[in-house]
Amino acid sequence: MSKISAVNLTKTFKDVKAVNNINLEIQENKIYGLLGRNGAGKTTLLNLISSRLIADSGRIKLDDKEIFENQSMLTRIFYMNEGNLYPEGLKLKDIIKWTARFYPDLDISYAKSLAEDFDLNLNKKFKKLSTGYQSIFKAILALSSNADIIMFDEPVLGLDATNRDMLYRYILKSYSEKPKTMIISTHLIEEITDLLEDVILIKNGEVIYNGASESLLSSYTMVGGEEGEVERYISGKECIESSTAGNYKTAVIKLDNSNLQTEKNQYEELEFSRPQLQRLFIALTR
Amino acid sequence: MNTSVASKYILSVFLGAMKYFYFIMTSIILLFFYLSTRLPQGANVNFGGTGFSSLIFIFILGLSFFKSEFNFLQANNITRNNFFKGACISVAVAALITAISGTLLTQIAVMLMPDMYLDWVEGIYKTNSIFANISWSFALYMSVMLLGWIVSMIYYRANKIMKIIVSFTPFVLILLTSAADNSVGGALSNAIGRAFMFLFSLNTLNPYTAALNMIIVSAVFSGFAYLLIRRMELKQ
Repeated sequence: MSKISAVNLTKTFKDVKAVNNINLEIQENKIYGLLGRNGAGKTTLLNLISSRLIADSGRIKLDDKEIFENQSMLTRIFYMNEGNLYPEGLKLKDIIKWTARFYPDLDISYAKSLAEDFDLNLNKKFKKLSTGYQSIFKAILALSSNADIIMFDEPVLGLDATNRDMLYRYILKSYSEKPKTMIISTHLIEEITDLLEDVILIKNGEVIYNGASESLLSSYTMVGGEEGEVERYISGKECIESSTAGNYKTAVIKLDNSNLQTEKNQYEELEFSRPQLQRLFIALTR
Repeated sequence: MNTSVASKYILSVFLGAMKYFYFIMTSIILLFFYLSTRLPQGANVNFGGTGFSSLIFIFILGLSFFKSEFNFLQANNITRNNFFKGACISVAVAALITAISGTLLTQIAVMLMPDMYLDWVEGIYKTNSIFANISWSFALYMSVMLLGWIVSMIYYRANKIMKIIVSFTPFVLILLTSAADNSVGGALSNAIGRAFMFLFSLNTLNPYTAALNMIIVSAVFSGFAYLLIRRMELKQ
């Protein structure tokens, strides 16, 4: 079991409630997307789960055991931080060596093979790496840690398209070979949509959705067409976002899109489709 | 397990700095030795300072220790409790290594330049016992290093205003103490002097009592350090 539960979790920085009374369950062996706008509270939430920050109130448990200051629980979590926490003067191979002493299940040979695949020289010092390679190195540590729960905060920061694609493949490979709970916080939503099973949407420190990515996507419908037609159609419906280009208008409405045939038959002049996660995210977090 | 790995990591950082320090100290002693062979007959010249240099070095080591080590151990999800225990072990081991190395270096210098090189423990306590020297130095270094660590943690936790306050506190304290001392006719400086005499056991000239006093001071400092670290949050 690797179930994380947060109860009434609150964290305030000066006057800002970065995490506001969050109640959350993260099920085991699923890939979660932690999505939210800048400053929504994603990193704070991950920092609270990993005990790097201390909550003002509330509790976080892993399998019903408190995580805070609990070494056996914390060793089951690997958190790839967006910021740099590694000693800049240390060589990468030495960082791997030390990390393996803190995470006894860390597979050093796998880390080395990943470094080779990403063309990363482990004899380099951490400070000599570009932002992209720092992200790659941290992701390599995370993937080879063999922890039950791996949390990635902006794992593709500074990576080019090829390396991003490679990293997504390795994340998926790691998950399919040994299922584990993975939480990925990123702004590149379109790129990870296919990876995600569940989505946690955060807005202003509050969780506005926590559930299957599929059911979120199927709960909304995108409707497009001539402006007047669309306006008439969405009138009285829950519209979460709309945009107009010329005379063409699109709107995202709360409507189950699993069976749109009736709508399509009834409103032939309109186009109905399933919204993309990114569009939905923008609409829900605006 | 994690305490032991944490202490090994922190110690590896200390040893890296100590390596350079003792290389420089050995070079300086060899330079002094070379210069002493060039002195004219009957010249009255004295050298010293290994102990005091070690004291300054270990205080700076304590001051510079924390942020990088705390960050790395947080990256590896080490609890604050394990970090604290690991750090205390590392500080004690670093103080012991410094005390032994410093004492040995002093003994070598005394051997190479008899009547020229001054040993501070011998100068203060009138004893040339190596064990007394190591015990006293160990306790002093440990307390000074812990003090440096505490200052470093206060800085880490503090906001900008607090950092300024902490930076000016020593100067303000000196000024206030001096003013207060003048107003009570020197009674305050006498009391401070007596406290130092007691702490360093200068009345009885017993290095072991002084060492014991400083170990008690170290225990108090460790308590402060624990209070600082138990609610420490990662800053990025």
